[in-house]
Amino acid sequence: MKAKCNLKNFGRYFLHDLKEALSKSWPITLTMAMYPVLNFLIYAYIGYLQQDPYWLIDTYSISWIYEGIAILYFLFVPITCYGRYTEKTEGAGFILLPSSHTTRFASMAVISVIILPVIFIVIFMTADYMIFLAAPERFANETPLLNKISADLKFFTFDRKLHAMTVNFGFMSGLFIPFMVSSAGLCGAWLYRKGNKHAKTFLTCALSFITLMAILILIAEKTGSARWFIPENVGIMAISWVIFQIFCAICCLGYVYLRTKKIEF
Amino acid sequence: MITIKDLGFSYGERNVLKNINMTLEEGRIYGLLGENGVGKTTLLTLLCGLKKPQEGSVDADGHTPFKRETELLSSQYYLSDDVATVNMKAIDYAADYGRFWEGFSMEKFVSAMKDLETDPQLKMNKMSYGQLKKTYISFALACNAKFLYMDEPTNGLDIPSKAQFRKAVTKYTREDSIIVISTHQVRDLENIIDPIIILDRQDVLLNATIEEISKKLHFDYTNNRRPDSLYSEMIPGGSIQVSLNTDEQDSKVNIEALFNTVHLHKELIKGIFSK
Repeated sequence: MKAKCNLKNFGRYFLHDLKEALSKSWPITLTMAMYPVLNFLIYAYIGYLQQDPYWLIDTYSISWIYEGIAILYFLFVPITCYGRYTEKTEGAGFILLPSSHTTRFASMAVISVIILPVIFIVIFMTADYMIFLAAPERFANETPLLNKISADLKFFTFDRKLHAMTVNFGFMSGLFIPFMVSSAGLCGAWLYRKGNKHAKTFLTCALSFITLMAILILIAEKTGSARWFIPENVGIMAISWVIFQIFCAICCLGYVYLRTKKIEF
Repeated sequence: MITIKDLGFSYGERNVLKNINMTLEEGRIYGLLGENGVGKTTLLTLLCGLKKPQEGSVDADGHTPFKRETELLSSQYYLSDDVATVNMKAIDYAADYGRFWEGFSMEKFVSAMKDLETDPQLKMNKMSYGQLKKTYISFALACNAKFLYMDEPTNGLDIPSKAQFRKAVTKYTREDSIIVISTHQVRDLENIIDPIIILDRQDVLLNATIEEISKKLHFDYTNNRRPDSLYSEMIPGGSIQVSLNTDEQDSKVNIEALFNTVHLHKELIKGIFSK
């Protein structure tokens, strides 16, 4: 009976929270998810200026820009939805709304880390594919996103040296990035009390990433980088990277859980 | 009932509240008065659980507010001095948020909005500050909360709205509620608050009902100069003088004059009312 009541309370709170989150995030979601359209228009405009009727979209380079945009979205959207709750006026309403802390936290985590990234990915991929369908002659063979996904998420690859199909652990490397990055974004939303939280969170993550890369390069150099690229170690590296992503996401969400429980206004 | 025991709170080195002890009873509208910066807002935020007491404790019907348990949260409402603008109609806001409070009544919200002359169909981000404040006041009253904390609710309200506010508070609150209203504009709450709590730096100077105050202090509205008056002030049409009520005469308490008297004779007043 109590579990049923808790589930009902969670459902009521979750729907309320989701409605609020969608109303706050739709401008950033639409703007960033429709980037493929903007990118197409930029290419078309440059083609027009250069009087080149055969202009083509550089699928490979653009796929990296798309990845950057997606990562920025995952990082920024939790701040857009929950960043104002560290201010007294908004925060008092959030903290004192009759609901348990666990409910508040679980709802916030599910929305920031799963629902909004999934909505973004669906719109982003749809926009990308619609542009491809509208003007396939402007793409070399596939859309930038499909190019990126087919490279990253290929489960089996043909190893020319071994002359056999091998498992590509790289397919897992991107799998948890949305969850890790949006957890970091949610962490930034609660970590910084005032100021431009988007910029502060971005800088913190960028610095952390650079530091981590520097440490990894140092380790690879010390131990001899060649040994990391034999097939057995590539698998271990991919799994370690996935564990690292999950660990980071858990740490960020753990911080948010404690912070929202203890925050004072 | 709310019990406050040895409550202390400071911001860094600056002590705001120290050894505060008091009991707040059901069915009363407490007026929390004090100059700017004496800790009125801090006390309210400690009562509703937005802050954690650094010393002592607060107990509201067996609950510790800072634990923020759903049961207590659904029986209290805190109206902040600064209110948030929301991109939705007032009526939609009430429907969306009101369902979290068990006692929330939409009829009461609409009726309070009507009494406060604010259109519930207006979008809250298009409202003036006064209209927005009245919307939140209506919402607070419609929650039927047992514990209602209002921080400077009359700030931003025009003169007719202040009168409407006083009427709405007496009309829409539960008989067993504990309402604490903080203000430094004492005239705004004349006739509705009883008892009166006057805070000073780290201390409670007075916590007494209007009846107790009128038993111990006499408010003289005549023009006869009283040599024993503790405080006197010219008011339109005469003067007001406050003195000790040694003859047990009845008089109407003037909160502003009381406030000034208490501030002029802190120790004397504390001594009289602690007996």
